[in-house]
Amino acid sequence: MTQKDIPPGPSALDRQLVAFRELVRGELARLAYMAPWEYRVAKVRAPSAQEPRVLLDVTSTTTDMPDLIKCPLRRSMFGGYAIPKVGSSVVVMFLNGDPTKYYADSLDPISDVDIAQVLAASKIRLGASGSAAAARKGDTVHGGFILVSGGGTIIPPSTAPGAHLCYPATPAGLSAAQTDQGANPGSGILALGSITDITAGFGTVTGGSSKTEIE
Amino acid sequence: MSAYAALNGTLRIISGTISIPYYGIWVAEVVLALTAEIPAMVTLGVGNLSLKGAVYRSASYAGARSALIVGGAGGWNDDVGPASYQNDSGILLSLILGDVAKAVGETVQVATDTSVGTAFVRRRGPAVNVMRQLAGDTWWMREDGTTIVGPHPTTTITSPFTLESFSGAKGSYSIASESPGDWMPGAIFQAPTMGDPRTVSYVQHTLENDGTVRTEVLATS
Repeated sequence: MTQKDIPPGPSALDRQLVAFRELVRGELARLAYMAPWEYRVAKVRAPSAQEPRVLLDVTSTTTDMPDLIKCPLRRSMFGGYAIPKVGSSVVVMFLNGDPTKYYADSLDPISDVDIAQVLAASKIRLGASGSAAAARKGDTVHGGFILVSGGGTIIPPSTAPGAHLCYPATPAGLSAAQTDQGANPGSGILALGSITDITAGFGTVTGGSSKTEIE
Repeated sequence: MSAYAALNGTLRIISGTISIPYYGIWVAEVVLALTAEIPAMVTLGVGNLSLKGAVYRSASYAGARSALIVGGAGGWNDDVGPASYQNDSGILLSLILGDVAKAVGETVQVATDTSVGTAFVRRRGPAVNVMRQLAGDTWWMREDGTTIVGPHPTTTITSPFTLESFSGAKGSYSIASESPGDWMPGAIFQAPTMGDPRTVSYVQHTLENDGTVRTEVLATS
């Protein structure tokens, strides 16, 4: 509170009241640091390896408080933080009312943030009962073998060496020359019966959401 | 010729009181044998007591002038604007208090300088509030008007004095001394009739019209 908080009127003319008020406010000067103060973002310092915090240079919206530099942005309950836009408002508070420990707390209720970042030491879980692992573009994943029942037919395109299907071993019904192990496979026709099982194999995820990035 | 009790050595004090607290700033209310304006900055002298202060309020009436005098430059009650400090290496207490003192014309001396942290926010308000926030109950005003942050010097009163009375209820002592300057907060005194030594917590000198000085002392315990 400051002198301007005193409403104009007879109270300002009461010297004893003014003196008493100053005395009380002097003893309770720390109370002012227990209030939330409105500031505007002037500059954003994004986190780095040396400084993991988001630091803001902020401008006071009142004449009672100074502009601040390197005001740490406090993270949310789930470890996330946002990079606010320059010009947006933030609320600055003081830990335990201590003028040496200020931090930015709440962001602008209207302005969008530039980046919203969620960090977690071990796991980020989306959904109330999420338990399936999410894959990212570029990750190596299990693709799987397809096992069939009811038999199938393989029609090789040719019996000429170098144009045959490749097999890890010579299957029944084909000569060793037809398998042409080690050479590039040629095209042919694979006819399968019913799919009965899929077992582990390897492949690559080649697509992902354009609106979600997970590091 | 200078008077026993005077401002600036020549402006004779007819009567008054001088209150010197353990922490904070001393104040004096004096009546002078003149009606003319007095300087804004004065040295209040009573015997060997010499205090530098500033006139806070003054007016003349019925052939005399009375004045309220506060220790130092009288600036601690002035407002200072907001300011912020940020230094990853730490910010010294003396820097913050030195800045605020300079802004209001005062001087400050920090006995043991320390870092208050890597940041500090000074809001608009009376300069003394910054002192209260950072120095707490450790600051007082030396006779020369310098604000000291730290303990009082430990001295023992060796000049002669008479213990005229002692109020056990108030914990106050009435002293008669020719050396009022020796009676400062933090000083240790002892008399044959009072038992253990005591430390001065608060002093009030009362200057009577008849030229006598009565000293009331509160002990720290």
